[in-house]
Amino acid sequence: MSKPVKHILSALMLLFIQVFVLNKIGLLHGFIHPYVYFIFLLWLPFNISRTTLLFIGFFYGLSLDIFTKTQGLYAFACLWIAYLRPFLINLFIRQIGQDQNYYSPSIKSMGALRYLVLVTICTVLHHSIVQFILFLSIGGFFKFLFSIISYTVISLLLIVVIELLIPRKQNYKTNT
Amino acid sequence: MGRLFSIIRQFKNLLLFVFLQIMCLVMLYNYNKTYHTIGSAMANQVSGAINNKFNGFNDYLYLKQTNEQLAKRLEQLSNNQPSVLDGPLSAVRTFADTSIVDTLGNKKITVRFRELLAKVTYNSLFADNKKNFIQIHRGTLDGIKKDMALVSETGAIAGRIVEVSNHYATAISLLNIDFKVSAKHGKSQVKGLIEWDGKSPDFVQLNNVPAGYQINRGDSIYTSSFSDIFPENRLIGTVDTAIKNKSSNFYTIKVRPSTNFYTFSYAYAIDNRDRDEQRKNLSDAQGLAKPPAKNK
Repeated sequence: MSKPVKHILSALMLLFIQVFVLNKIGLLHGFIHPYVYFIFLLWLPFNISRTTLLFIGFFYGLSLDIFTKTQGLYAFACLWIAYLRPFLINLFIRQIGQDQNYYSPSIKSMGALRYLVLVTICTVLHHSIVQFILFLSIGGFFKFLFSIISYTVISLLLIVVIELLIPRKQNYKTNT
Repeated sequence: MGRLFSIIRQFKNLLLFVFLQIMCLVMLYNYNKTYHTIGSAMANQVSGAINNKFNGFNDYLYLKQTNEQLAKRLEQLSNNQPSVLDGPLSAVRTFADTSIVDTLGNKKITVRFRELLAKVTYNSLFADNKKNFIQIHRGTLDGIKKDMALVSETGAIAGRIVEVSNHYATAISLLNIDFKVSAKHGKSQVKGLIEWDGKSPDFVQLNNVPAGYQINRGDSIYTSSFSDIFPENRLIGTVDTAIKNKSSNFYTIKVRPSTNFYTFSYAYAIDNRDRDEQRKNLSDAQGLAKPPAKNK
């Protein structure tokens, strides 16, 4: 399977899981709503141009919005992830130029701890933005703070499970 | 000019980011106000087609409950029909507005409320922004219009249609913080307003009921005649708890909706044919009631 087809399939799969499983199971313990779909934006290759990444982030978020009838909410959060991803990857790669040697960010290419920190930052970012917009329209300050923490914990747990279940094999690329 | 272009080229990603962010915010805040943005009919069509595919599986799991509910509804409807044995009595009895045939079996020419059966393709219960939606597999081509009422299999109210495309329509659910409907308490006929506070999908709130009335657990709450969307005397739910609020002298009433949103798979969309006339009449009257503009 070629790489673009793989990316499209993984995007559809994650959207499917988000819309028809995680949004339907109900709230865990009455208030926790897990999100995993945005992990797709981290799976995109290292060498993707930033403009393309922004467009992909926007339309990917919008496609979830179509299902949840929240026009622009998740697109807004995804745009932030897409915009900040190159900076974060530069911060967390093991050595300069390593992004040339591997295809995309993963446990293998970045190291488990560094990758986990990257995922954690993106998860916190996503939940803070979404919850902040909802806080502006619904209110409830302590619920807002508590939901960021609880959603992040559960989402991270699910993302780790997904990463362990679907290992993305990558070879070390050399010039020779 | 060349400098300007070079600056734009340098910051093109930042500019694109800001532009897309503004687009998102415009969509978000316009949609909240009017439930309608550019391309939302198309989005409705696409999500409807996909939801419909996956709904087949879900329906299979709830076949038994659906069957029971449809049987109940059939019983209600058949009880409403004039029996042959009733004799002259049936000519005197008044029937609900919703029946399409009159006592002689002829089709009534003016039916105020018309019901259309529709399959539910999407129903959310736990939306993060407290705005749940119901999508049905009927659209403009089947005669669905904006602001039609949506009731469940058992006839209890479920939502109001806000968005229509060719084959699909989307309604805001009773479990949506934007949904409001005028209601009345069955025994005392006191009017109130049904709203959802966003906490639990099992309860909605009945507000604006003065504490002077006697309201008990298990009492039925119906739609009032004030609404130009919902027909009168449709069941909304039953009272679960009614607590008198001493500071404001109003009740705090929790109502358990009669619509089972967990196993919701068929719905009736109800069209009020007099709605436009009703609205025009009211707005004309309000225009007349306004004090005339001062001339100086």
